[in-house]
Amino acid sequence: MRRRAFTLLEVTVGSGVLFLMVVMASMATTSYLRAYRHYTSEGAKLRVAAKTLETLCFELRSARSFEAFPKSLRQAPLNFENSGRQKCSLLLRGDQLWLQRDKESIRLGGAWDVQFLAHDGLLDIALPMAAQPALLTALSLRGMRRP
Amino acid sequence: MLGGLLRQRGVALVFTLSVGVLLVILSLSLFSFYSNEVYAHGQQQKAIQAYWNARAGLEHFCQERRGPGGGVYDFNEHGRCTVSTQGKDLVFEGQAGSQKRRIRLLERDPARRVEEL
Repeated sequence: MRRRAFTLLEVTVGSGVLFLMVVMASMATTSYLRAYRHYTSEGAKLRVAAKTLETLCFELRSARSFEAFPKSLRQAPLNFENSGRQKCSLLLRGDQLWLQRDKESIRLGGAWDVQFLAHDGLLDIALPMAAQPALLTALSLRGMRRP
Repeated sequence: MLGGLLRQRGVALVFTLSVGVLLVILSLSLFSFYSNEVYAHGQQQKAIQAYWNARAGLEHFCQERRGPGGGVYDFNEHGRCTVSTQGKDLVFEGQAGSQKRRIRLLERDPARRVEEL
């Protein structure tokens, strides 16, 4: 039987198909690694936001009177007096939420913004996050003096 | 034996196809992992929101000192909180998508709450 070498066309097509498969597999790998990093980071942000919301609610629950409710902490700080009659102020510095109590500053956690809506004796609190839905909850204002 | 096999015609095709099949399997596995990541992240977000819906329902109850009319506080696209009675306790079940989180008020006392995760 006479043996025949591959033609240039056969080699080109074979190499092309293999190359295409390798490229697609590489793209799938890099996409997955990028997505894994993205969702790991988003998950961490979500847990930080939940922790911040917990701390925020804890501090607001100690309030006995509020001066005013800003729609967003990006617009104005939220000023209130706590049960120990200390003047408190919730404010954002960069992407961190801070509580100014008398002369001390306490970092409550990471937050890009905090939005408030007071209605029917309740305070709706929303923690917007980039690239995912905002975390939303409500706080009863029972027993607290409101503007 | 290997030399004989390599001299056979069509081995290159078998080899190329095998590599191709392996790469396709690798790509499909990665796509499956990716889908799982997206799904898990969505569920995590919903689970956290479900917990906060339960908390919001509890706050509504503390404010009004009575349960909601239809037994449900609706928080629109964020989900809802269903309030039910179990014996002397009140159970607030926050829902967001398919995720549910419960907070039990022992003997309807807001100071005695148990978070059932």
